[in-house]
Amino acid sequence: MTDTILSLENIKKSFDGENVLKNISLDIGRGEFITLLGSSGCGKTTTIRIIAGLESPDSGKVILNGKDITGLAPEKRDVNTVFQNYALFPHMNVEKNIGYGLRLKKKPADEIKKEVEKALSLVQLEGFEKRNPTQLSGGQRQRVAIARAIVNKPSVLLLDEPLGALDLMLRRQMQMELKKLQKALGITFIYITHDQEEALNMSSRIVVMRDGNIEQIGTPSEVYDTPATAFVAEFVGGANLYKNDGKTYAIRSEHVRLGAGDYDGIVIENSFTAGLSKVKVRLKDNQEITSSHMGMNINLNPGDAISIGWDKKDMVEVQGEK
Amino acid sequence: MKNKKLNKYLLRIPIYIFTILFVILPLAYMVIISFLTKAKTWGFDFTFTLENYKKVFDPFYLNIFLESVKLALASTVLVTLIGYPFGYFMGRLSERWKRRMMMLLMIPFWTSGLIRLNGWIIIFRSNGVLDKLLMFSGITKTPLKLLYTYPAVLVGMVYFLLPFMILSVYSSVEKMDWSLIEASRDLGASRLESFLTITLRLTMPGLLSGVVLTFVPSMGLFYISDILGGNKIVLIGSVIVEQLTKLRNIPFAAALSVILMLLTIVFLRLYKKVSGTGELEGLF
Repeated sequence: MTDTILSLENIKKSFDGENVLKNISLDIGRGEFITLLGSSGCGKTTTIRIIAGLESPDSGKVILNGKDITGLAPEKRDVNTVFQNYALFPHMNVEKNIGYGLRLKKKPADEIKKEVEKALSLVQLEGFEKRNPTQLSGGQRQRVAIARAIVNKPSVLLLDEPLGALDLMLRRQMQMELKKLQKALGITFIYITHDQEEALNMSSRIVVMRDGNIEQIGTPSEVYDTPATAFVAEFVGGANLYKNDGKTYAIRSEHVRLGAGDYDGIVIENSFTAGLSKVKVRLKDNQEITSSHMGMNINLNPGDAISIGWDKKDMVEVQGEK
Repeated sequence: MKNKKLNKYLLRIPIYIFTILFVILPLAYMVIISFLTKAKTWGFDFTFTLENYKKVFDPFYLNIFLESVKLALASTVLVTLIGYPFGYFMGRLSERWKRRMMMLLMIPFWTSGLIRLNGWIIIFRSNGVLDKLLMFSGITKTPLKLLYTYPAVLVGMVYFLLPFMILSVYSSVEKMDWSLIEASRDLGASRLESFLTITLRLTMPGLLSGVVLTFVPSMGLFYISDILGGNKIVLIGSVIVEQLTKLRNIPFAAALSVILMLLTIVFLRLYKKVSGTGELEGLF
């Protein structure tokens, strides 16, 4: 990474004696789409609230564009946030909501109007200027919230689970649009989600977080193919964890062959969903391994004896416990 | 379907009866009396006259109206200035402290207002609690003799009406979504800008109904000025009571009441127009 736009240096934060962020250090490059991935309570929201200035760290530094902004008020930071609950101003229509930041900067009215129109067309909401937030659907509110943030052209855009409240179809569509938008604007996105699929889909790099620590930073394929820890292996893509000789290995279920393998076991579960069949097998040493296959359901029942196998190259040694 | 519609109308009947019986009829009665003549002994004769209204426009009474409006406006402004911040900070307290504050606000209502006003007499009277305190701390040398002055009446009014403003502001502050403040700060608003553009706007309904709840009663309150103002501060409310109970001029008291009511309505209309809102919480 040659051009770092934002750095977090040894950020620590605790609430009521509970360490929410233990020691977070992270460098983010200009134009990156970074995803903070983790389950609730892992500290990802606190991290972006510290970047936005809505929370101040107990120790550590936030560096934006080479300047220490740790103590700066939120309004003085070149950073904007898309909030999880959208936080649209109920007493302003769409146009006023989006123009809010520009009005505070005392931009001339005709320029604001133009910028608002441009932002609305970017999120494909042309003609919605005069609507009130209450007259919009969830997806439309989300778009307004995004437009309201990007219209200020921040160095970094923070998105706190922006698609969390949308249904699956809309989520998929918005994922694509957000990715396109990020490319078109060239703004650095820091995106929060607990959905590993979303993270793998959209990000240039993923930061997997757990209990206030960073478990792994890497591109989606690095995180998926070479998980650093048992937690990452299981959280991203649900890999099998296989213990042997005191070492733990991650094995992707799609790499596990059914039949004619080196490991004997008993089928304990056979499920079939959306073109993917999953067979869970309990080995002789009581470890459970899942094998997944595209296509038709396989005729296996719980209790059937079976042998399974995998290639040595598909075993990735990982650190820690799940 | 038809039955449902009929039911809807039937359900409304009690409220109509109630309104007619307790609001419209008494008002009509008052308006009618205001056009009648005072009887020689007691009550009124059924002789139509405009004499009562002519008397209202006597400079003496007009001046009292003016003084009453001035005091009501002053009380409302003071109550707003004190009550809004109070209600705002109360709304931001933790649940536990909110409950405690609410309790403290309610306790005075358990005692008669007259008794509480007499407490103010003890504070305000010459060489009373306030004077002693001020002289003891060396701020003043001689007693201020605040009782039976305009400031005493004003303090009494503010004291009396403040809880209504506080509760009204508090209820709208309670409903505030504070993530909106974070959003506005994030978009570049300073604390003050954020307060002016978001908080104040969103708590405006509470503030406005607080103003109405303060202004309307303060136009007619009479016993505060009677007790704390002696006979020096005469308000229209006191005049009406006097006409009714001492001078037995019921038609004239009715005429004064009609004018007071009209005046209040005019002020409310004006106010609604200026504030540009119809959404006074639970009032209109």
